[in-house]
Formats: sequence, structure tokens, C-alpha cells
Amino acid sequence: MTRNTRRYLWTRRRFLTTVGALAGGAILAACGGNDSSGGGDSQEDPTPTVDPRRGGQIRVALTGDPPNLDIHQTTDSIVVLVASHMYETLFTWDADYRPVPLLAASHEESEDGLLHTLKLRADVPFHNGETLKAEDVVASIERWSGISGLGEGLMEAVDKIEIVDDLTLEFHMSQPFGTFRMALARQLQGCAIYPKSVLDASDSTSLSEYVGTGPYKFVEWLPDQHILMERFDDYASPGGEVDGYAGPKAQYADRLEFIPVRTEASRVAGLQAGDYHYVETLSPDQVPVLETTEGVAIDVLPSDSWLNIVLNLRSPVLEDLRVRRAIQVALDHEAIMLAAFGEGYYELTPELVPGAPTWYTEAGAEFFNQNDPDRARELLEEAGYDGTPLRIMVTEEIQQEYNGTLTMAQQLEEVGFNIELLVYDGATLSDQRNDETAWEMYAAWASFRPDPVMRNLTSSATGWWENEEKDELLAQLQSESDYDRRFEIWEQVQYLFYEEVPRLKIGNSRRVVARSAALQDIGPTEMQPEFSNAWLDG
Amino acid sequence: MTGFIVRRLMLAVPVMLVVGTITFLLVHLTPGDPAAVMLGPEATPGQVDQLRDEMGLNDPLIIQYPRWLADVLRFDLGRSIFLERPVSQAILERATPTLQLTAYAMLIAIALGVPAGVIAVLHRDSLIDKILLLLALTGTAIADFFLGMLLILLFAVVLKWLPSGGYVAFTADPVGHFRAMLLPSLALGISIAGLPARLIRTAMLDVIQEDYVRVAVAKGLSHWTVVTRHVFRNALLPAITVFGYTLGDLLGGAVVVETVFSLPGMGQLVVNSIARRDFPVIQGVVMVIALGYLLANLLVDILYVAADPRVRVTRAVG
Repeated sequence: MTRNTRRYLWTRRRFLTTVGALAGGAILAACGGNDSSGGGDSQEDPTPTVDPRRGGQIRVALTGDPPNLDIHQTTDSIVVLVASHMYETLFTWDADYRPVPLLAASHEESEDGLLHTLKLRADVPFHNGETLKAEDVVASIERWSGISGLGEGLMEAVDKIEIVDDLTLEFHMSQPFGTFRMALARQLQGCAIYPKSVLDASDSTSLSEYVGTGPYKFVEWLPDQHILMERFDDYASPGGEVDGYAGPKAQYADRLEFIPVRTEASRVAGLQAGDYHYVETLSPDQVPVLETTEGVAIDVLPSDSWLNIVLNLRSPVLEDLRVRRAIQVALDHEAIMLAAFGEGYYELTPELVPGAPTWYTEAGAEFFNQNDPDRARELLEEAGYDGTPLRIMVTEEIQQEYNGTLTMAQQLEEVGFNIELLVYDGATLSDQRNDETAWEMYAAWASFRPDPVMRNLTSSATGWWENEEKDELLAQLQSESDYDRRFEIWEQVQYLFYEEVPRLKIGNSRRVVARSAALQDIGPTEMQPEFSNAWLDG
Repeated sequence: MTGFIVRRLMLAVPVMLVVGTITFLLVHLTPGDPAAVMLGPEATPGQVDQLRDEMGLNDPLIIQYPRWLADVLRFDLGRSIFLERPVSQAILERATPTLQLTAYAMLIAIALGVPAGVIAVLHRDSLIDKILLLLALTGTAIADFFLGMLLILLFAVVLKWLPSGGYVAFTADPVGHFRAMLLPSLALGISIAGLPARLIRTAMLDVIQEDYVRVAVAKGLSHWTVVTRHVFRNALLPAITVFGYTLGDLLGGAVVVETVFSLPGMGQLVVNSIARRDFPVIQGVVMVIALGYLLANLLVDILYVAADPRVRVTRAVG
């Protein structure tokens, strides 16, 4: 359903643009003002657009500096937001989150699934003047697969990659890999294509230069000051229509500037003052202030991510399924989400890949949000819970997670759990969670995934969910290419997720995006917005 | 005098080593490491461990410490993990905005605080004195963070006269530089202006009771001469000392103000480096700040000697 409304927004936008040329601004203002569908409760700009204007510098306020500008390296979404303008992947996503070619020209899979033939687009220049060749793709995939879990999964299924000619590669597989295109598409820790010459001078922890094929090229990075990019004039824009992340890039803006602004109040003030055009993330608390500000547009997005409580299955307390069930049964998700996000900014649905409606399933819904404290007490008694403390890690740096966790801890205490709340800074938490003896639960974020295969439910992820049936299903989900068959597999995985309680899905959150009303056409935001088709009105 | 300075500088070496060692231990014994931060929130424990290995963070401290010590003794502070440059270069780049901010703030504090202190003394126990005292206390009590936000709201959001944050180098655009620095300097300056005001007021009140002031007045010197030559100059001595020692407060305030106004200074550098566990930078910045403290204290002592002949005599005799 969500996807349909999004498409509706797109077509509506196009429609408005077309009508704009014919009918003039006054009628449009009325139409635009009534627009409350689309990307959620969008407070659309009072005057919809005429012709996109070329030029100007789009200024984006980030929550901080990215840890690096290497997409291979990190699962931090801020890197995708910034670096996706410089680097491109072989595939990207259309508006329905189907993987479609970007640097690839075509992709064919043999009947038995053991041969993937990939053709590259010709004459695609890198920012350093080199032209994209098959060897760059091989070098990039090799480096990426040594770092990323998904890449490792792909290479386990690949026997060898053969370079047929400069623009053709053959992937000889040891087993079918139906999610080939998805693995190589835009995503967190995705396979950006860097030139081989740059990779030869780099190592697995850092890049010697920031060079890609993207619509904007790197100018400078002054940490704590800005990251600056300028239009890449020789950019080889893909053909066709703009469709999700796919299609041509008009490169309207001359430059993109990403500015780290750590204090949320300063980001908000900067947006109000007109110093920034886009603010990376915003808590719902800021909406009332910004709603009344002239020149600021607020979009409350459809839900695409969820509050995720990770359980440590190697903890002596939680290895008992009855104890995990007791936690699952005890919780009142409504109260937790209300504390975390506030009225109107959450949804309570059981699907594990919100934002990708083709993967919506209610498998296991009977275990979701049960809110039955009495049953929880019974389960605890059956399990013989001896009052060993449940150590819950949380950081105050992410206020929503913190507020939600406090409410959850209180609910657990009420059914008889002994709770020890460990409040850490972000860096300590991200270190401690790797130590299986240090915690029982922690609050985290399950960000948007276009396909369930990208939701890391393997036993290597923190929490260490080991289950042979699930692992077998995940392997099938990766190798299978038929959608209907994959959907059935995914339903079974989701059911196991609720039955085995390796993590808890509390609820979906709706993100708030605040931007200058002058900033137009930022496109989809689930995998971070791209400003390659965005432009500044006036 | 020279011998005194040299002795003090020599003393700084062991102090720096102790500071460096304590920082090294604190940083490495605190949980959290840069590999986990670099890989982001959804990395698996296996990936983090692999990167830790590649970065040499899995080596025991008994190996890492001598390695670090040997580098420091060669004045090499190492290389930042996140900033892709040597720590010394990162610190030099960041020192400029911080020094500018503290210098401007200091000027504002003195320009506001010293006259306020003098006026308060001249009108002591009157309404003006009480109002000035109230203002001084308010300035000291108000959090720099809050004051900074108020200034942004007024001058950037409502009036749109000045930018809400960011840094412009003086060499790139002098006007832009002062526009960008005005609000942060005011925020920091106002929050510390109460200190010189109260110091000068108290010190002058003490001095005014002295016999030589009464003599000066009795001699028939003009009111202005008595206040400037006799009272103010003598009151300056204790003020210099205390003001010098509050340099630490100023740096602490700079950390907060830099964050609010997104200035790429030392404060932001150290706060962000702690947040992402950029070990070499944390160690480097702490040592440089410690050195700054030592030098500032030395400077205060030298100024004191220069401003008060009695100290010189005592030293010469002793």
C-alpha cells in the first residue's frame, strides 16, 4: 500500500509539473496545498514547480562527520547519504524496489543459475579520467567481498569471475545465486565501483583517493567543517525515465555541501535561518517549531525502519526460550513506541521489511505485541527464573531508543525481571555488543531494506541466533530468484523470528524529513535521498 | 629571570609524560574502539574483530605503550584514524579557530567586564553597582550553550543578520570571518565577562582602603589619576593571576560553543575524537592542552613579575 501511495506522489508530481506549464501558479498553489497523501503527511510547498533551475549549492546538515567516504567499509547510513553522489553501483532500485541496471548495461542468468553474464555500459568515465572497465568491477567486488557480509556470501557462491572483454564479465557459480542483482545494488556497505588503479594504491581499511563514476565529484573534506562536491561535467547519465533511484541524473546543482552540525537545535535553527536546505534526521519534537516556519517543508515519511531489541542468545539467562517468550509476551508495544516517538510517528505491524510492501507478511503476528503480563509471569515461573539481572544496554545519544528502552525496562520489572540498565555512550555500546558475556539486551535500529535477504539474521550477527532450519531458509532466500517462491521462504523465516524470539520488533517508526521549501525533487528517501536530480527553486 | 623560565620549562617534561601516560591508559582501558565505530551500527562481531586486527588494536598494551612512547619522544603524535592526516597537522588546523574564538571572547569579556567593574566601584552600593553585579552574575550563571542558542535564534533565525554557524577563515574572507565568529565570541565572552568585572571590583575595593590611596587623594591628585594610576593598576595584580588560571574555563566553554556553532576547533576535535575513539587524536589533544596550561601558568607568573616590582625584589634576594 505504501508503495502505491509513493507512486501516486510521483505521478502526481509529474502531473502537477505538466499542468503547471498550462494553467499557471494560482491553481497549482491550491492543488499543492491540498496534497496530504504522497510521502506521508507532507506539508507540500505552497507553489509547485515550473521548470527545474540549474545552478546553486545544495547545503545538507549532517548529524556528524561520516567515519569515512568508503561505501564498502561501513554500515553507517550517513556514508550512503554523502558518498552515493560520487560512487555508483552496478545496479540500483526503481520506485518499486526492484533492482535495475545502473553501471551495468545488461545482466543475464543461465537456466541452471550457474552463469551470470554482466555487460557494462560503454564509455563511462571515472572522475580521474579513466574509463570504466571490467577489471575495475572485479577489483571492486574482490575488495568489497573481503569486508561486507553480503559480498562474502556472494563470493562463496562464485567459482571464478572471468573477464571476457573490457565490458563483459562472466560469473561462474558453484551454486545458484538468485539475488545477484540485489547483492550488487545500492545499499549500506554496498559494492561501489572504484577504479582498479585507486584500489591498487589502497588497502582494506582506507581508500587512497575518492574516485567514482557518480554525478558529483569530490572536491574537499575538511572534518567538522564540510564535505564539498561539484558537478562532474563528463558524467555518463543513464537513459530512460527517472524511476526511484534509477534513471537519468540531471545534476541541476553546481555543488553539494555536506556540513556536520552536531546539535539538533543548531540544525533546526540553521534550517530556519535558511543556512541549510536539508537536515539529515530530526526528532518529532521539532515538528511543531518547524511547521510554523515560513520556507520550511516537513515530510513525515511512511514507516521504513523499526525499533529493534536485540537479545543475546548466548547469555545463560536468555538461552532459555521460555525466558525470551516471557519478555515477548510481557511487552506493551504501544506504550514503548509512544514513549519513543510520540503520537502519530509509529505503526504497530509485524512485518520485518517495512517500506518494501511486496514483502509484507503477517506470519507470526500472533506473537506480536501480546501485552499479557500474567502469562509472562507464568512463563518465568515455569523457566525457574532466579532473578539473575537482565543487563540492558542503551545509549542516550539516540533519544528515541533511550526513551523506549526505559519504558520497556519498567514493563519487564513489573512481571518480575530484575533489570540492570547499562547506559553507555555510542562507541562503548557498539564495542560492548560484540562481547557475548557483557549484556542480555540492547536497543538498536533496523533500518530500511528493499529485500529481506539484506536483513542480517545470520548467526554471525550480534545476538548469535543459531538455528539450522532458519539458516537453510536464508540460504534458499539467497539462491532462489523466483519471487513467489522467495515470498513463501521469507514467510517461514519471519514466523521463526517470532517463534524463537532472537530479537524483538517493537514497532515501525515514521521518520521526519525537514527541508527548505526551495529544495525540490529529492526523490525517494528510504535509502537516503539523492540530490542528483534535486534543484533549488529561486 | 631566564633561569627561572628555563627551570619551569624543564619541569614541564615529566609533567607532560605523566599526563600522556595517564591519558594513554584511560583511553585504552575505556571500552569502545574505533573499529566498531568505523564499521557502523550493523557490523557483525567478526567484521569488527578483523578490522581491529588490521588496525593493530588487538596488540596488548604492553606492546602498544612503548610504541606510542617512542613516537612521542620523537615529537611524533601519530596519525589520526578518521581524519586521514597526522595528529599534529589536525591539531594545528584546529588550533586556529579555537585560539581566535578564545581571543575574541577574552577581548569581549575584558571590554565588558573591566569597565563594568570600575564603574561598579566608583558607584559602590548604589543602584548601578547592584545592577552591574546582577548582570555579571547572570552572565556567569547562564550556560554558554543556552546563551549561544538564544543568540542564534535572535540574530540568525529572526533577524537573519548573521549565519547560524560554520567557520570562515580570516585569510579567505575577513568580513565573512568576523560575521561567523561574532555570535560564538559573544556567547563565550558574555559568559565569562562577569569574572573580570567581579575581580576588578573586589580588588579595587581592597586597594581603595589602602593608605597610599588616601595619601594620593590628600595630595590633591585628580580623581581620574587616583583611580587609574593608583587603584586600578594595583588592583590588576590579583586579577591577572585569577584570569590567567581561568584559561581552562575558557577552553571548556570553547568546547561547548564550538559544538553549538559548528566551529572546527580543538574542542570539537577532542569531543568527536572521544565519541569515535580516535585514540591518537585524543592523546595528542590532551597533551597539547596540558602544555597550553603549563605555558599559560608560566606566562601568568612572568606577567606577575613584570607588573609587581616587589616580586622581583623577593626573587633577587631569595
